[in-house]
This record gives sequence, structure tokens and C-alpha cells, in this order.
Amino acid sequence: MSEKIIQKYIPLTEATYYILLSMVNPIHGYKLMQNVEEMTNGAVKLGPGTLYGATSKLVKDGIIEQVESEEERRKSYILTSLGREILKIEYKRLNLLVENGKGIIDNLEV
Amino acid sequence: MREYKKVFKPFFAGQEEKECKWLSSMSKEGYHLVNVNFASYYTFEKGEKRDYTYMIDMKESAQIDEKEYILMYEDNGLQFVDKSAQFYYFKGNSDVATIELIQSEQGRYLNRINSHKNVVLLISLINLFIFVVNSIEAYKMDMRYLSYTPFLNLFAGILCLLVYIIMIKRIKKLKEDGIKAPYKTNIKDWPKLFNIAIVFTVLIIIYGIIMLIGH
Repeated sequence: MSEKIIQKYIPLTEATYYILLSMVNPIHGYKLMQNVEEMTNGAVKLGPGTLYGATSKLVKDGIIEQVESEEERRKSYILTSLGREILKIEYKRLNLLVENGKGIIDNLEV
Repeated sequence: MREYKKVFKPFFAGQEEKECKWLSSMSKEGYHLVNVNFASYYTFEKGEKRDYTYMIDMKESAQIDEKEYILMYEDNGLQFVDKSAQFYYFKGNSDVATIELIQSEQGRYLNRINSHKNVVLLISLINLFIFVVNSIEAYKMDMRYLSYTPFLNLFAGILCLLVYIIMIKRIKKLKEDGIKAPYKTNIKDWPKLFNIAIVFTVLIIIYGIIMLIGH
């Protein structure tokens, strides 16, 4: 079951990657949007609808879960162990891509 | 005394941008949207002339808490106006922040129409096929069988084809703008609305097939 879900998500889209990165610790939607924008210097902007669409899918697939929030009106989310696994797999994959390109791209003339 | 104006103006799926522009132009004339039904029947309230930017967003999953969903947009400076089925109408002042916010939702839109377009085309072709076969049969036998011809299928076929063409145009334009899909979607992720639409179309198709056998 989890194998299938991992296959469905990897490679992660840019938006999903940053959402998962932000959910290592409990976080609510509005904070997450600001977080992602800051982390990427404004290069990745998530709209509320995008974030909500992504969040509901991630919850359904057991990648994140809802946690009690200090602010009662807003829900907070955190990665599940499957979520942490997916994030690690993706990180390794991205690293490998960069590694493989290193010797080649450094000497490349444009 | 509040003054209202009701307007009937139908829009197809995929014409949200056009719809929003129209709503904006109404606001500039002092008519602000308060109620909408089926993306075709609008109620406006007369007020001061204002420059509002409108946005239509589809709440993709019934599991998403509505209050929180609306709150999230309000945190971002948009104002909730009304909803029609899963489509939520928001308005905001026409400033950079609002326009950027609307821009950032475009990828999701691209995602959605990308995953819907082929089903729409398939439904269209099946309906048109049934209509053509029926018409030929009716013509071969007797003109009075013409009344059995499933015009409903012709209608559904043309409608779906129209929606498909609009979708293709939108996808092309979004891609030209450099918009990327934020996450992956498949049929399982579709909201219930589409299941209902598909059930309806299947019923129309069955109706056409029964007509065919009836000859």
C-alpha cells in the first residue's frame, strides 16, 4: 500500500516538496504559505486553494495528519512516518541528480 | 432601500476568467455581486462604483472545512461573496497582492482541466456517435422514425465538444504563461460534482442506446 503511494508522489512537484518540508513541525495553513514564500525568496507562491487541495490529498494518502492547534480556528498538520519517508526518498533522489551532473555541468560552457 | 439587479448570463466551464472580468466591469459600474446560481444567474446590489478583482475558486474536496477554507482567503485579503455548487466567488481590491494571489492559483486550474479534458472529449464523441448511428437508422427505415432520433445525444455531444475546445485553449494559454501544475491529480481525486455529471451523461448515453435498440 505505502509502496504505491510512494510511487504516486515521487518525483514530488515543487509545491508538494515545499509543503512537506514545512510540515516537519506542526504548522497551520497561513503560516505555511508565508514560510514557503520566505524559504524560496518568493519564487514559489502557494495560493490558499492550492494549499488546501494539496493538504486534503496528503491527509487522504496518510502522508500528513492533523494535530491539535493552539489557534482553535485553524487546523495544524504534521508529517506522518510515511511522509517523512517520502521526503527522505525525494531528498536522496534530488541529491543524486545534482551529484551526477556535477563533473559535467561545472565544465560546461554556455 | 437596497437596489438589486438580476442578470441571466450563462458561462461555460473554463470561462472563469471571462466571467471574472465581466463581474469586475459590473462593479466598476456600481453593481456588486451578492448572489450567484449555476454560473448563469447573478444578483447584483447597487452601490458605489468600485474597482474590484474577482476570483472563482473550486473547492476541490468536500473534506476541506469550508470555514477554514474561506478564512484562509480572508487572511489573504479577499472577501467571500457567494458559492454556486463547489465554486466559490471571492472579490478583492485590484492591487498587486490580489492579482498575485489569483495568479498563484492558476497552476491548480491547469492541473484540473488537464485531468478532465480527455473524459469530456470521450463523452462528446460517444454521444455524437450514437446520434449519427440513430439518424442513419431512422433515415433508412422511415422518416417518421425521426422522432425517435436522440437529439439529447446531439445536444450533449456538441456541448461537451464545446467545453473540450475551451479547455484546450485554456491549457495552451496557461502553458504559454509558464504556469506549472502544483501537484498530481487523477480521476480518484475528482470531487463528487464530476461523478454526478458523469452519471448523467452515462444515462443520456444509455437512453441513446435504448433508442437504437428500439428501431
